[in-house]
Parts: sequence; C-alpha cells; structure tokens
Amino acid sequence: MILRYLCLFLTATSSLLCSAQEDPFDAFLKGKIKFEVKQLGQFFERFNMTDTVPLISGKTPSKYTNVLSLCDMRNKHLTNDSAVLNFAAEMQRTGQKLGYHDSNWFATANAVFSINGSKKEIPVTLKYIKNKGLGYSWIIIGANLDALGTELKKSNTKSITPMNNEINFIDLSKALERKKEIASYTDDEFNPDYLSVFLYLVESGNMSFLHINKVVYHFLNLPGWIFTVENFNRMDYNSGWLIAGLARSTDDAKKNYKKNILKIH
Amino acid sequence: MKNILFTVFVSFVCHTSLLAQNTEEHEAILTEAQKKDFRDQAQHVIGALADYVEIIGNKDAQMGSRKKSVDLAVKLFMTDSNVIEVSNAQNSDIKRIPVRTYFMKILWLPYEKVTITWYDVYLSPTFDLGKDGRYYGTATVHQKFVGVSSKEYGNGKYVDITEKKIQIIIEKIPAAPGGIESSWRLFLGDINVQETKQK
Repeated sequence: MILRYLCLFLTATSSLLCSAQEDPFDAFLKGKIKFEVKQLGQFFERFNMTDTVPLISGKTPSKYTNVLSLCDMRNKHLTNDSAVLNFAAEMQRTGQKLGYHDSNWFATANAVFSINGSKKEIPVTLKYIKNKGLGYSWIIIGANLDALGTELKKSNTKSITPMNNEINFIDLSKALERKKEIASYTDDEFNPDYLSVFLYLVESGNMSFLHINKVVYHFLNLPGWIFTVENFNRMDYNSGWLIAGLARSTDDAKKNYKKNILKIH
Repeated sequence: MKNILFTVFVSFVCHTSLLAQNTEEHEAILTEAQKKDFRDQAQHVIGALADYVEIIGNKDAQMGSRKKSVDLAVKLFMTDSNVIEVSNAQNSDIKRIPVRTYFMKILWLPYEKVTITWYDVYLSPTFDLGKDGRYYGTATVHQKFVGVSSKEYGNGKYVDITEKKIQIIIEKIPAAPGGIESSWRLFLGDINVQETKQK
C-alpha cells in the first residue's frame, strides 16, 4: 500500500517538474537525478536519515518512508511482500544505521572471464576491512566457481586401499588418472577452498579477465534480516542503488548464505 | 656520572624520535575540517572538468582553446595513465580508455554541433584513508550529450545520458627541498561512465 502511494507520489512529482517552463526532458532528468540513489554512500545516508528522499510537500520524510524509497519498486516480489513494510517499520522503531565500517556486509563483483574461448561469469566476494597498518581496503574473500563446474564429486566407495603403500600406491595412480573422482580420496571432512582455486586460475593465466559485469551488496549486519542492494540503471525516479531482495533471517541462515552464496569459508 | 648522562641522552633521543613519529602520524591524517575543505575543493575541480569538457566538445570554440582544454583537463588527474571505463547500455561492451585519448575523442566527434551539459554533482559523504596513505572518495555526475550531424548527413540528432563516477584522490605532497611543510593535494583518478538505459 505504502509502496503504491510512493509510486503515485513519484509520478505526481515528475509531472509537476515536467510542467515547468524549461525543456520537459531536462526537468524530468533533474528530478530523476535528485531522487536517484547515486552511490552506496548515499544509500547509507538515506538509510541513516542524514539525507532524505525529496518530498513534494518539502517536509522531511520519516525513516519509514525513506527506507521504502530505497526499494526497487518495479520488483513485484518485493513490493507485494509484507516483509518490506515490516522491515521499514522495524528500522524506524529501532533507528538502526548502516555504514562502510560495519562488519558482516559484503560485495560481490561478477567478473567475466574468457576460458577456453567461452565467456564465464564468476562472482567474486569482497569485504571492506580496516587494515592492520593504515586505512581501509576491499579484500577478496571468496569466489563462486559454479559457472566452471568445479564442484568436486565424492564417492564413498572409492579409497586407496590398506597396505597400498607396499605396492607403490598403485591406487593413487588410478585415482589421479580418473581425475573426476579425485576428491573421493580425501578426508570426509575436506572442504575445497575455491578462493585458492580461483587465485591459481587467474595467476596461471588459465582464464583471462574481460570486465566486471555487475556489483551486488549483501547486508547480513542487521539482526534478523538479510538484504541485497543492486544498481538499477534506468530512466526512472526510482533508480540507482536500491534494495533488490529482502528476507527475514536467522543466524544459521546467515551462516549458510555466507557459505553457499558468498562462498566464504 | 657518565652513565647518568648517557641514560639522559638516550631518553632524549628516544623521546625526540617518538615525537617525530607522532607528528608524522598526525600529519598523515586529515582532520574532519580538512576533509570538509576538500569536499568544497572537489566540487570546484569537478566544475572545472565540466567546463573543460564543454569547451572540448564545442565546435564553435577555437581549435587552439579546445586543445588547451584537453591539456588542462588531463592535468586535473593524478596521472596520464588514469582511465575512463565506458560501458554501453545496449550491450556488455566495456572499454577502458586513457583520459587524454577520451578527451581527444570528444575533440574530434563527427558532429557539426555538440552540446554537453553536466548536472548536479553528488559527492560521497566522506573520504576514507587507503593503505597507501591517500584518501579516496567518489563524485557522481550526470551528463547530457547532444550531437547534431551536418546537413549532408541529414541533420540527425543524437542524445545520450551518462552517469560518471569520478574517483577523488587526496595525496600528501612532501615538502620541497628547503620547504617547511608538506601539504595535501586533490586529484581526479579513474572514471566509470555508464550510459543510462532509456527503459
């Protein structure tokens, strides 16, 4: 309901600006630029109420309205979900804030590589940290190699048999020849470190970097919630860095999210 | 007596070097007031870049002043090797061009008339210190480009809207030989340009 109200409000403001004496397109563009969330820093400012979405009445919006204006209104899954309204209400009630120096939030940059003549998109997970020495940096902490089909298959029946050492590890030779089942010969608890694989593939030149396709921010730092922020590049007042996905979440679900989506181990 | 003097001397040397270290550490940090001043300065530098770009694109201006504007625009950047990364709204084609090459492209655009307008600048709320001792921030600016081709090409009009994310770098400049104080200076860094999708 509120989102519908915001949509109507944005349309009304747009038409008002367009009725001004200047070129209607320029008037619209100026309005769009005012509303657009131009940087992640501005997303934080609007979330924290140090910057507010401009209202036609000139009044300062509530945090509830400000947070709702930070959602992608074209996403029906999001706007039809009462979780969004609950989220905005909770943020207003608790006054929670976001910032670059928070912990437990991440970026994924989808890096496009050329591998054996075909293009593959690999989401690289990054974290903003305070350096032990001076200042801050983004560091690479994970890589999702699903696009490369690198998931290691394990079989319980395969093993290097007892006393195989006495015959020059013939089972190991067979295992190394089979390639695809090599992970079966590791410890049951073994978890592959895909970040090391990624770094090796880049460093060895086995895949060539082309460009970054898309950046998504993942916020796991607000208790009970996970949400993502993406850039919506469009000729619309509701554009820029906006909430693209939002869900209630437990601490366990956040752990799984880090492991399965962000590939942080 | 000698021992006492030696201890006093060592303590004095240690104290002095600590003071020097503290002073250096202090100097490496920008105060909030300095950051605010640099925010104002960033607005001016972006404004200057907007003016240069407008002149570079303006076919009615003299070629000499347009070329001079290329040089002046490049001087706003930290190095000649800073790049402008341009992404196309229609496809995933992304090009990375050195700043001078980018401005030269604007200089020689095949239109009879070019109008470049820059709208409000949005500056990141703060500058954060990097590992290299420089401070980093970002400015976002929108540009409207209108190019009109000549009569023989049908007076066609091309319009695009782009959003430019400009890296702002504040670097500490060491004192010149014989100089007393080091100072901070603001430069532009790399730029990401994204064409705004019409739908």
